[in-house]
Amino acid sequence: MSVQLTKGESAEMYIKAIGELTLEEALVPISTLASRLGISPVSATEMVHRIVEQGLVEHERYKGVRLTETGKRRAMLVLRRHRLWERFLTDKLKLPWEDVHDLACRLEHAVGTEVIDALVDFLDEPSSCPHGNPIPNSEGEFEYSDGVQLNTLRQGDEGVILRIHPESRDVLSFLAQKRIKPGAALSVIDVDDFDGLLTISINGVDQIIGQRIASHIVVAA
Amino acid sequence: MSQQPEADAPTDLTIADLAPGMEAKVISLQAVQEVRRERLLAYGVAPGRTIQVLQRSPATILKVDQTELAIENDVASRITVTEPNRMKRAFHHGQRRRKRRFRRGLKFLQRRKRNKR
Amino acid sequence: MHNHHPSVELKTSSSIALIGHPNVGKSVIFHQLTGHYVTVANYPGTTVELTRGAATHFPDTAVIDTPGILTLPSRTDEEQVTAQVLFDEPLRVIIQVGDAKNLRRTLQLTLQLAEMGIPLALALNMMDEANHRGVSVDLNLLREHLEVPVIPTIATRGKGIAQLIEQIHKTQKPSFFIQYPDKIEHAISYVESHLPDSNISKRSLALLWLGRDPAAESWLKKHIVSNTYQELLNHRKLLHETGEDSPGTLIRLTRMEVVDRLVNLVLRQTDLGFRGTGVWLGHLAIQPIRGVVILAIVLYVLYWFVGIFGAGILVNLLETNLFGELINPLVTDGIYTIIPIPIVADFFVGEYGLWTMGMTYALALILPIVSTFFLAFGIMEDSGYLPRLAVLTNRVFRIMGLNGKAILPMVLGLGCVTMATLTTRIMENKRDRLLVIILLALAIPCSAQLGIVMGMLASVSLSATMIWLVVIVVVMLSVGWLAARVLPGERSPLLLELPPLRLPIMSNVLIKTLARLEWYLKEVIPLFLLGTAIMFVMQKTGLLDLLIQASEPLVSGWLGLPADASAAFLLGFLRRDFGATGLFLMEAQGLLSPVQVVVSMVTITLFIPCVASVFMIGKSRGWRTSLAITAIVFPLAFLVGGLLKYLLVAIGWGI
Ligand SMILES: Nc1nc2c(ncn2[C@@H]2O[C@H](COP(=O)(O)OP(=O)(O)OP(=O)(O)O)[C@@H](O)[C@H]2O)c(=O)[nH]1
Ligand SMILES: [Mg+2]
Repeated sequence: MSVQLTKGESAEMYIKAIGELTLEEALVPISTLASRLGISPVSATEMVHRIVEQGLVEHERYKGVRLTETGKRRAMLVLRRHRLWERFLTDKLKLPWEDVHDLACRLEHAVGTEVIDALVDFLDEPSSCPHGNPIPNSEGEFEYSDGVQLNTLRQGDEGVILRIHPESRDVLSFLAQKRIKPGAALSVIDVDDFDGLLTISINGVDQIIGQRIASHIVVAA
Repeated sequence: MSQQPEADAPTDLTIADLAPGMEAKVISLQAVQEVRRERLLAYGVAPGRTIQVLQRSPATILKVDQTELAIENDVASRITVTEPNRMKRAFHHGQRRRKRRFRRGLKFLQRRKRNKR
Repeated sequence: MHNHHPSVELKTSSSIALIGHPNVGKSVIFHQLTGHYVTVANYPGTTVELTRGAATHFPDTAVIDTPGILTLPSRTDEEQVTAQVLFDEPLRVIIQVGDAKNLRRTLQLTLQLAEMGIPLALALNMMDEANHRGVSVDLNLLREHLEVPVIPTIATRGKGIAQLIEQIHKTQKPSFFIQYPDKIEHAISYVESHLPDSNISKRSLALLWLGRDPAAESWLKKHIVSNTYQELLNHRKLLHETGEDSPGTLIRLTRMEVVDRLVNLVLRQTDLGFRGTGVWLGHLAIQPIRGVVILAIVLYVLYWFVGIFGAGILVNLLETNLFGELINPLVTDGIYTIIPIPIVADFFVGEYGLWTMGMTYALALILPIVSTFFLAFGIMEDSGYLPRLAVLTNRVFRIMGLNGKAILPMVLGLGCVTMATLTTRIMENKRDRLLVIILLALAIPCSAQLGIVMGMLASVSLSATMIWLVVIVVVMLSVGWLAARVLPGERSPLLLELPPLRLPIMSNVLIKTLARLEWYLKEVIPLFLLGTAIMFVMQKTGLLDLLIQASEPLVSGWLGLPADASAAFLLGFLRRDFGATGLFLMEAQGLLSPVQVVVSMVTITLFIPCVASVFMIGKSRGWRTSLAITAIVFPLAFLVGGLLKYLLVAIGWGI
């Protein structure tokens, strides 16, 4: 069951990743992009050059990349398909929460707009993916609701998990194992001042998690 | 499956049969010379522990816990291991190469088995 | 390389020993506790001898930095040095420095140390790296189970050191106890009944004895009557013959079980493992082809920095401009006016003058080269590249009957043969150690010499450099190949831990470079002055001319060099870099043709090791070995040099 990606598909993958990593106007460093995609910085640079030629991104030397207007639109539409597929896979096919991200990564490039429109109808126009991230509308517009990263909370703070962002297989399976999912209420019991480990109480159990994984968890405080 | 191999001709799978990326559990180090065995044990290459092979050439590179260890292939071929588990799932894009390597590794194992018969 | 603090015999009534696995940060913590700097580098086996320093926070107490131990019962020379500490030192506290990311391994040693009955504290170091890999330790639970203070530290950032000092005051004798299999327990009680009192508990001494620890054996030999010793020996032999696993293995396996249970309790995965650029680069550096490309880049950068920048630009600046045009004319004039007697003035500023030759060589030629080398080398050491180099070069060393680990003393030998000789302790057995020492004496130039050699060859042509390199490598390989076949014993295969690549900490690199420079100048300047003085006397008495005449057939006839080159080789006896410097000046005056440059450089590179290293080999391997090595190397250097000359002339190179 190997799926070989075509050139166009991997370009979509790149712009989607850049889109996810972009915070407003900031440039995304290529090294960040590479580690997000789990590839070496060399191959990332190479690919970036190719999609620059396609007019999807702008590259500022030594600083990073940013999506062009076309690129941004394309990226948001891929994101829309991706998150819709995730919904479908969890809600309808009952596949595991932590697996659907990777599966959707492969489905997102596959089909045309008719299928996606049908999917939207079938799913009853969902507003967010199973990991809590908003689904862009057909114009490619969406907004993240206000929230803060869990690692910025202090001892005694409480909140509800809004979303997991950015998503990746490793992060999701780690969180699934600890049963940390959007919608759950949590409170910070302790933040270790030596190594920054957070002890949180969630679903009635204490969990200890590191700063890095905590930065993937966005909570409404 | 896990009988003790003779000193010189290990009969089971050894670390030298694993392809890069594979993980397996150590069965026995009996065929390794005593002083070296002690050192391997100290590093954590001990019966029952999981090791991962990172590289095969120019030397075998192992990962045990958070330790990376370089051993010569001759030593690697004296450490018997269990059947390797499936390689860590390599689903995400950009990891195709690793997947290919895994398939190559499997073929390698099958060929080895055939040869033995 | 060298860091003996001029043997301050610390008279203290008690001491604190830092003990732990190799490369876990013992030396960094030693620096924090005493203010004394000892060499810190990112490879296992940096420290190979004991260093003592007065503890800043404890009156009348010495802190001892020890070589890392992988296994106890000790097996290698450097491990024995550490085991010895347990017997010989009035230890008040043992601080085990452990690697938090390798908890299993760390605790293995903790249990062993806890059995010794000496107050113990565990500094769990490298917390940053553990954290980075998403593993963390439930410290409270660990403390509870071990009943030993456990202090998390990040030594390189000074984190946790204050807490460590605080806890040292509170350490108590640990009460941790492991029940071994019956067979071992019986053996322990039998052995215990024969043991005298020692620093460590009888039980742990018995365990070390059963595991055949050489330090324990020699201590016992001295402290019990020979009859009893013989009885113990027989008992142990008998024990070995009954049963499959040796007592040592049984003991180890029991401990491993205990540790496994403990680790399952206290170790947690709290985050994702992070694979950064360091990991990626670390793996790239040991791949067959890409690794060699990286090596080529590293060598090129090194060549550029030391050979071109240090030996070229800096030397030129200092030698020609600063010394040649400014300082030396001034000093010369000054001396001649102060001291009107020509021969005495000559002694200071003449052709073989203490200042014009000795100090100028040392300060204008050698200093810039070794400074750049030590700096570059320090960075390389701290990055963790050297163990990877060992993997990459393993095949080459295999030809010489060695394993890649030999690269460590060899590379250290570029800085200082003396320390490199000590570092051969990290080789697995006597045979390997001897082989490395032979190669060190023969083919490894020191950095100053190397810098001069590279500078001179580069000024001739690239092919000159290549010829020199090929000849040296071929000679080294063939001598190694031969020696490996002559020496009895078996080659030991590579088995080496690869520490993570780390970003060098500039302050450490700088301190280290300065410490090495200080040591270097202290060693070099007196020798250079002595050499100059000898040359001066020989010249004035006419002995020099005599010698030059005597060696004429060898130097002019056989090697085809100008007769004056004899003087340079004479200097080479004292230090190889001194000799090379002499040749350098001859070339600068246009006295050497390209062929002569290559031939003289090959000869001086292979030339006998300097007096200091002959002395060091004599001390550590015996004088017979030392003499034998000298007797082989000396004729070989001239033989190869001469043959090369005939070859180059025959093919018409360089004309
Ligand atoms: N990241 C990190 N690196 C450390 C820490 N402590 C030490 N190091 C690094 O680890 C390496 C080894 O440190 P050393 O102090 O030389 O280790 P050692 O235990 O004396 O080693 P040997 O003398 O070889 O037994 C050096 O590169 C240090 O910079 C730490 O807490 N965190
Ligand atoms: Mg040290």
